[in-house]
Amino acid sequence: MVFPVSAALLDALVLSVVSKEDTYGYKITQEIRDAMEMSESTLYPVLRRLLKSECLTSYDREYMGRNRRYYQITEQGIAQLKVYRSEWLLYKDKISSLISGQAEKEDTV
Amino acid sequence: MTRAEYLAELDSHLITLPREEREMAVRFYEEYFDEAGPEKEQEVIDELGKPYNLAKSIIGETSLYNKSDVYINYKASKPMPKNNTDVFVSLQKPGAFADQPADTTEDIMPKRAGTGAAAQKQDTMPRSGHNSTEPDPNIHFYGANASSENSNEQNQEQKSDNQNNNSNNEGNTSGMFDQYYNKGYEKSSDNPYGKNYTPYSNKKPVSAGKIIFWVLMTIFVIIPFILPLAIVMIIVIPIVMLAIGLVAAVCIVTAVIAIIAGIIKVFTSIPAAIGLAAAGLLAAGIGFMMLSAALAFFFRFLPWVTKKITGFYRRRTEQ
Repeated sequence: MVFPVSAALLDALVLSVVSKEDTYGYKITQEIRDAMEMSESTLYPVLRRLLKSECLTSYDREYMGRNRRYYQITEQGIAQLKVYRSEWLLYKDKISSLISGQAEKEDTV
Repeated sequence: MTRAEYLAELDSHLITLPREEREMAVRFYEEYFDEAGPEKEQEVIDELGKPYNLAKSIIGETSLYNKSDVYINYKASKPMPKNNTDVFVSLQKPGAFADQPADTTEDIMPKRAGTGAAAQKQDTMPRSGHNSTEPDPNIHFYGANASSENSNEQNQEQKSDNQNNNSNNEGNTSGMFDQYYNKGYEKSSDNPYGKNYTPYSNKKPVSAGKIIFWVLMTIFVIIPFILPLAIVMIIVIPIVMLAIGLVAAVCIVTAVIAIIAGIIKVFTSIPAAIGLAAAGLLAAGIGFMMLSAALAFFFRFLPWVTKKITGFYRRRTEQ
């Protein structure tokens, strides 16, 4: 992908993924990587930041004899996600219409 | 390198972090290896990059909470289509919307600032108010921590210190965007995600560079080499074509005369008449061929060349 991704966009992506259901690090990475090219080393700092800002919480669940750390979205995370979503719509429309000359045709991230 | 070696090395590079942060980070990647499975071990190691660089990205994030530290990896192995380089514009820059009508800009900017401020508030994260050219106090703090690593109490104490420090910086949100982007810029040299990726703030709108490139090309290549050639072509080819046209005209005139002479000769000498008629027809054939060649050159080829040249320049400069 030629377009750089900002920290805010990564936050929004992770919050969106976690808001669907509680999930764990590896799966979040894979889900985001389905949508775009992202280094595996990118996610941890993002999760860390979201945990620190109390947008996410984490808990451990046992899975096949080891602990798996699940992440859950908080009230604050939901509020933040809402902000990101409205910002995203605004941003996306502006960029789409600038880039392709016609909005909605291609939602390139 | 095996997974165990990788994690051990990562851990050793995280020594400047408080113990719990360090454990958390290593644990995260341990779990990551577990999830990926042993068969993907090497793949994950390759993807994560050098432990040192990974550690740097973690430390950058946990001690400074500098958002611009997060980059997406741009894989050098996938060559990008040439044309796409032209669209590298720093969309994220605050000034990206500057070209819009004033009312829209005003509409967007405060909103963005508002969201940024909100995000900052929710962060409750330390954000150093210092410019990144100065060493951040947090780094020293963590560095000091490393030497007294075993003392958990001290750890806690220093942590609360840290919190206090940060609350002082709470109000400093106005320059936030600038700070992000500046940091992104300055950090580019030690970008943990590989040399091939340049963070967005480094990107200049390329069209200016393109224009300069083509101006230089014009001065150093097109003027000394291509232009003389073109002038010669422009002068010589029309002259040659004009000559061809003249020859064609002469041929046709000759043909007409020869044919008329042939018709007259029919009454005196049949063989002479046939010869003249044949010569006349031949001259007419050559004449018409040359005429059509000359016409095709002036009315088809020349406009086509002109269009190509102007189109070439327009494409280079308008992108």
